[in-house]
Amino acid sequence: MAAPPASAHRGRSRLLPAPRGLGPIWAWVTAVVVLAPATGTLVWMVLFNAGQGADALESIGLARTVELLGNTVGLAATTAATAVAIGVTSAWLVTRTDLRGRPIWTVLVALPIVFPSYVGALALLGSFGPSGVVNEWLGTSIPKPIGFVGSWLALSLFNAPYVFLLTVVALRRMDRSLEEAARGLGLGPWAVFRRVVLPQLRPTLAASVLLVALYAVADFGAVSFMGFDTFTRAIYSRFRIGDVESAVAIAAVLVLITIVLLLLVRDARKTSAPPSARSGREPVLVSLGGLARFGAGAFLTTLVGVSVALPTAVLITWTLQGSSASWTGLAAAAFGSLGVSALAGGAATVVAVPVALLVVRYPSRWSGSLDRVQWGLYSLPHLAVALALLVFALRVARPAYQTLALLVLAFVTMFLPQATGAIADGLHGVSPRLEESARSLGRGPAKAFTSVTLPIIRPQLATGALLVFLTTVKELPATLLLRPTGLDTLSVRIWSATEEGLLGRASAAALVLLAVSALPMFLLSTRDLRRARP
Amino acid sequence: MTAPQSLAIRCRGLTKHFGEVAAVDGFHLDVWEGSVVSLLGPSGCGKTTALRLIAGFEEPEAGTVEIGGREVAGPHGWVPPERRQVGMVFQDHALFPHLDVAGNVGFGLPDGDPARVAEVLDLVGLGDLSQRMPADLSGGQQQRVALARAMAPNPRVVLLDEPFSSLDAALREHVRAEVRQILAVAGATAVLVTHDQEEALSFSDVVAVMRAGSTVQVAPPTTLYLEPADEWIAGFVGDADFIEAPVQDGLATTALGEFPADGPDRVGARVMLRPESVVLEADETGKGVVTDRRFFGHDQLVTVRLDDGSRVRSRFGPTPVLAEGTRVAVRAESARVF
Ligand SMILES: Nc1ncnc2c1ncn2[C@@H]1O[C@H](COP(=O)(O)OP(=O)(O)OP(=O)(O)O)[C@@H](O)[C@H]1O
Ligand SMILES: [Mg+2]
Repeated sequence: MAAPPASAHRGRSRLLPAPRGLGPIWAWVTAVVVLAPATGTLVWMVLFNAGQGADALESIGLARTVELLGNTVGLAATTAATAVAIGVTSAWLVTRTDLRGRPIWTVLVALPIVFPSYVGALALLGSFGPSGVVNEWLGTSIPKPIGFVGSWLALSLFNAPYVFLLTVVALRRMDRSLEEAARGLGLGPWAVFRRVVLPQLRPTLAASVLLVALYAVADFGAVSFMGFDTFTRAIYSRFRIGDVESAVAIAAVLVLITIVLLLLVRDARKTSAPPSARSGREPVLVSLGGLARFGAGAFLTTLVGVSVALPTAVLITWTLQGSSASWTGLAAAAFGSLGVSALAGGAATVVAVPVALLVVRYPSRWSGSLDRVQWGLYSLPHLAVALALLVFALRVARPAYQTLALLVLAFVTMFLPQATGAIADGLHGVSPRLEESARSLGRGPAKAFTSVTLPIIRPQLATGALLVFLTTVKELPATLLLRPTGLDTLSVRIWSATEEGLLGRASAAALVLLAVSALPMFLLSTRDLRRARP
Repeated sequence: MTAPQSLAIRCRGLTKHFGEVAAVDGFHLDVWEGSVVSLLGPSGCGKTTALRLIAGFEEPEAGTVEIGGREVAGPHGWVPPERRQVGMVFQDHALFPHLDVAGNVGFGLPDGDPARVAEVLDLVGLGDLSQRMPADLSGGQQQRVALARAMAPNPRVVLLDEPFSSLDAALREHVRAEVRQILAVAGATAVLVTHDQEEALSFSDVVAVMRAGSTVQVAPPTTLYLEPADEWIAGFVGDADFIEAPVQDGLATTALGEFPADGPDRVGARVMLRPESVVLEADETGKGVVTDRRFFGHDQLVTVRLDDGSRVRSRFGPTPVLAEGTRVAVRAESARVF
């Protein structure tokens, strides 16, 4: 009855070994093949071109260099300060005061999260200046908020919701009994905020400041529309005139700046305190006096007016006025966006499965590095990553140049953590015992994974795909750089129409973009908020 | 009894480390076909790891595993879990949440073989629940589905890792008896991991006691209970008191009687007494005094201090009542001398 062990040797399959190994080979191959082109080229750019970056900047001129650096850093700093001030103030108002209609305000203040900042910039441009909507309504002649002011406004207003959401969640998770004790000791609301709430919020604030700064440094669309010269705009204009070498050199400097910021973010994360337990009791709310109540109401009304109502109204007005609307062009762009984004969402999910598997099931130095690489690529300016892939195609994989495949690779490279994060969530909820049961019941490692784990994490696969889809729909710089000739998308259409001054055409495309993405984007962005119900 | 029995599982010298920790270290085990073996040991002694080595979820650094006479892990080869014909029942049941009961039970069968699914579900008494989802089952029902799923493909052996510990106490005994019955009806070979000595003794034909990664005694329950190989095992598998006594000519002489002893003549031999074998009788001239009495209804546990200062316990029915301070005569019906 003893079967000869001869066939057993063949069975020494290393496909899915006992946990704690390095993980399946195919997973590593997938991860490396997808992430290596951008990673390798970026490393090459920084190692061999950052020096030339100085040369390239020198060729632009010292004054101009200082100007670029000053513009970029200044914009990042002012934007971060403004967005954090707006976000934290409104978060405190909706979580800690007895202001009327707090649930509705929470939704409204978070709502601008659905506007890409370049759409926000477009709306600001359409509001003011000679034929600006606001000027026509009010009969004023406020000039277009271009340059620094316009960029700062657009980036602050449309980044504030991210800070707001982070802060609301942090405030809701905070242990209220500390604040109540402080009030019991005779501290007023302001003193409680300053001496009890603010210190506990410090990690959230630090993370917010750095994340907004990172975003501002990386922003391309808003500063371009506003004509404000930062690194990204300089890179693109060099690229546009065919000077790829200078573009690469300046991008190398931008990547270095970002890496410094990323390291700061990492340190900020390290110091963040563990979430404290919440007492189950209803919190005591700060009751606002008459004047304060009026001030708070006015502040939130203005904020929501400027960041939600105004852009919506302006986009609709321009669309209706736009005589230059070309419906076939718009439809083509919409289909282009949906098609490319669906491809990116699908491809990212396929790649994210092995990456998440490695990170969750096979923790090791190697999978830890893989995780850091994917997050690094996610956090770098899209323009820099896209440029890296462009250079990769030009120098190493010429046939890939201007192909849809390269564009999709760029999206997968840049947005992978959105999918891996969702899938990792799913994998954490699937006991390894399930796959082991499947193994004992006769399924090989791959079959056990596909017949048990994959069906169970289907919702998380869908979430990951949707997140990447939504981010791709509104992506601008990589699409501009890498799209195959003939492919039009909504973001490209918004870009080129705005460049040509055809605000009606741009607004129509922006409305379609919002119609496609706003609702799922809002629901996904506020998931944490709903989990941390007051 | 009829054909000469053969070994379903044979483990020799299995060793497995996790980092510095030797989880399993020189593990031996024989499991005869058709028998139910318990792997009993304290928490962290390597029971789960031993089971996982047999199932093929871990690879040993040294030693061999044979299943049905075929080496599945060792120097001559490696057979992955899916080809070992081993059924696995986990502590948390690990039912596939996306499949209904029939889908779970049929998972290991070609095309889900509905006839076999029905047959096994009848065996575990869940014939009418085949369309239910696992989340809609009680803990005991989940347990039986997990067992049915493991047994459906007719594995050579069923491995159960603390399958009853997730059930509440009231249910546990009931499900345990049912599972025992199901295994017996199917004539299945099974290895049960547990750290509950009562469970091991009542459930299995053979108990393998583990300590620090290896088996220290493998014996039928009665033998294990009455003739434990060492003091640690004696204390681990049940209540035991120890007194010291001299041994001469193969006899240990104690205040409770004389007992056969192996080994050379010696002075301080240790004599193990099970409370059930200690008999008390109220007697003004007896050699002990009752110091404590705990009454449980179906039995009572009485502690006696002997005149030489040692302490023994006696377990017997609800009567007679021997109040604290009562002087008693003490005698033991059996004892084990180390
Ligand atoms: N995957 C693992 N990684 C690291 N150490 C492990 C792992 N699995 C088990 N160990 C260690 O190996 C030793 C034996 O563990 P094992 O789970 O086999 O014990 P056990 O007898 O089943 O314990 P319990 O009764 O608590 O379930 C323990 O010290 C444990 O910490
Ligand atoms: Mg265990």
